[in-house]
Amino acid sequence: MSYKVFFKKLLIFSIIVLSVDFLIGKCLRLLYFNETNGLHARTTYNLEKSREDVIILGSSRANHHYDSRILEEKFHLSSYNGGRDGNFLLFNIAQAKIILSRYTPKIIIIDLKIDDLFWNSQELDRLSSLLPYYRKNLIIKDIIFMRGWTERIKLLSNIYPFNSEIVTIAAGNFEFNRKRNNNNDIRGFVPLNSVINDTLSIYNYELKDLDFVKIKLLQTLLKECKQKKVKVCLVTSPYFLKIGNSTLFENTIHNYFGNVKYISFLNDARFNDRKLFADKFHLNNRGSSLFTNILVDSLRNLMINKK
Amino acid sequence: MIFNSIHFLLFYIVVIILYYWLKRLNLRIWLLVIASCYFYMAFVPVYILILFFTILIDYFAGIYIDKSQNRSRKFFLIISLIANIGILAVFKYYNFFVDNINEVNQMLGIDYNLKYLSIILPIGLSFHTFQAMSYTIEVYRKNQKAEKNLLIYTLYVLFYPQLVAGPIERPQNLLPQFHIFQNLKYENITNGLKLILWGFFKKLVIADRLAIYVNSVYNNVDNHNSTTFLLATLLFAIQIYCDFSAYSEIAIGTAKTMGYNLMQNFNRPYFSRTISEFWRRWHISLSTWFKDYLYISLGGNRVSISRAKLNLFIVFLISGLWHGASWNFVIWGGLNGIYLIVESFVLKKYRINRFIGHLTTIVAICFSWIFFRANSFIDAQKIVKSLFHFKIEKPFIDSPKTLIYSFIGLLILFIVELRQEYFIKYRGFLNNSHFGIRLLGYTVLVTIILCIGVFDGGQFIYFQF
Repeated sequence: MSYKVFFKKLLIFSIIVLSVDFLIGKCLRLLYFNETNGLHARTTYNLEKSREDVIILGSSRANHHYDSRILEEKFHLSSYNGGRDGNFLLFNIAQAKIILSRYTPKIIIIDLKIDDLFWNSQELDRLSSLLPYYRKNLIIKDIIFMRGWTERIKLLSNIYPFNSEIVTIAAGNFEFNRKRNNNNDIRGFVPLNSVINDTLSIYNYELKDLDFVKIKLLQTLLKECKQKKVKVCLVTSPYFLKIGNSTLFENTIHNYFGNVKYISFLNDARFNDRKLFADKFHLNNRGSSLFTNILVDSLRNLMINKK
Repeated sequence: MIFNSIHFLLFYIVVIILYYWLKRLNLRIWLLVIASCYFYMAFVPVYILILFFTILIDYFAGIYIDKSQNRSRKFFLIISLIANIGILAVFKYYNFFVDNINEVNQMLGIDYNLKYLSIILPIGLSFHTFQAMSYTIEVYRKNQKAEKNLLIYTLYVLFYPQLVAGPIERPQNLLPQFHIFQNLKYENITNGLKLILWGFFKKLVIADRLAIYVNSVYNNVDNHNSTTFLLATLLFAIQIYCDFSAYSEIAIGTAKTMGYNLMQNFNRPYFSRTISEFWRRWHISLSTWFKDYLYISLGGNRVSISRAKLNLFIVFLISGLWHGASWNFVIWGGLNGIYLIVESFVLKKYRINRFIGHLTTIVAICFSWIFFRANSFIDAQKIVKSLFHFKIEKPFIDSPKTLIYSFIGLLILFIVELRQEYFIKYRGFLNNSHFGIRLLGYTVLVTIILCIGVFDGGQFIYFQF
């Protein structure tokens, strides 16, 4: 077979693959942003539509710990919980950058896990949650490209940002799933109802490889917030764990982010009751209610002191 | 550099364009040697020196073996074998040896511990060492003339498609191909690209997806029940097959597009009716290596039945140890050796029903995979214990998505392999005579890879060996 025929076939194949990628990618994009409930919809709302005064950012711990209703009632400020399961500090920083590029909330609360400042390769993998928003928000490209230089090439595909999300996207567009999710989502906050059946165990905090890129990014974000007069509070919400060396973690936070209000609930005796937790890392409905109420008082001080 | 990366794809495109652009054989060989060095150095650059060391030793050993007579031939062969096995021993087995010595010392109450070497295992060490050894052994056996061209011999060891995870080639197959100027052939390009595409599908859609589930179970053995272990072990059996055969297919396909034919490494092993058939279909290049260079050297079938069985067992123990410096791998190898010995006696006396044959083969192989996959012997013991007290319980399902996506991939794999095994007269999508149907096949595979392939997946399992 001649070269001409070969290259002709290769060209036809390339055109078809590119067309299919374009069409399926567009459909997935449409369906993704059409979701009204669930994980994707909450993130989309937070990044693209939210106008609330108080924004909460963090992982699943933020998502299940900060009761938006209590914050609204006590502060008389609208609030939205933008915490997302399995997404960590880099994701939160990117979220904050997108939100700040759109409007200026009054308060941003960032929930920090005790290992959030460490290098964690998984965290880069989890940034895939941001890929659907990349094209509209080039402001986060530096964070996206931390996944590697090849990400630029992968993102030429229209399907790639929705890779492995088809089932979730499909489910998010079904009516039964909308009804199911309606009960769970309270302005982003998703309460947990189970109770842990375990005793308080000990976890010794050790200083591992600090991720200075992440620290620098957070410092830059905090500076931007200051310029825009957004009040920021870093919070470490309770664990059902007795954390050994917790002061080491708290000191690290003070060392790098000393100019920002930081509230730690590590080893807080008010949260030693297992009935407040769904598992070792997550408060349940009862625990989140208690926690948010206590937090509000501390935040009031923040607003008064730093006005 | 791993095959399932954009880095490799770009590298491959550049190499293949340059390869066909160059019109002189020696320039092409230079290109492939340089490309192979780059490919290998993407892991730990300094380890290329180990390869160069063994290349030089084996190259000269080959020439001297060829030139010499009688005893001297053996002498040069031994030098070559010592160099290769020595490197393997230091880098792969030294810490395992130290670990065991220290353990024994502890048991005997001796307060002395040997020090561990803090080194990273050079990637694919066992593969290229075995390939290098096959060269000197074949020259010694006079099945292969010594290669006079150092550059071509270097390429024989370094050839990037099969450098880090095989197939472990024989010099008789590969070396002559490097002496021929390969013309651009449409069939080579398309057949090679099809293999590469199918390999990517198996790796990204099936193996890496299953790995998510398997890892979450095998890395937390204390938190799972027997039903979960059963499911995870079955899925691991498929994962390791898809992972390793995908690597082989990408390697064979990559070489094919440049006109080189590498040996087949897998032949649908899970369709085997006996364990011996399984080992004729699984990692063929390694199985035949052990048969040709170890089993036959130990006497093969020309000795008494009991000695032949013992030889078989020894070969499988060593094969286990080849895979990894851990007792788990030795047990895995030993188990397979025992299976083969028992099977040979059973098959002599009984005629096994086809279905029973398939079932027992899969059960036995899956059981041995527990030792292969478990992170430690203690973990393997826990899993085996749990399976022996089997209770039907709700299996752990972290994310139904993982199983749904895996099922899509597995269904396609099953249909494709079923056709290849039993309905060979029907043409598959990728080999259909109509271009439109082939095109549909390629497009569907690419789209599935883009939609549900795992792009953040890890290395190939066999890289660690």
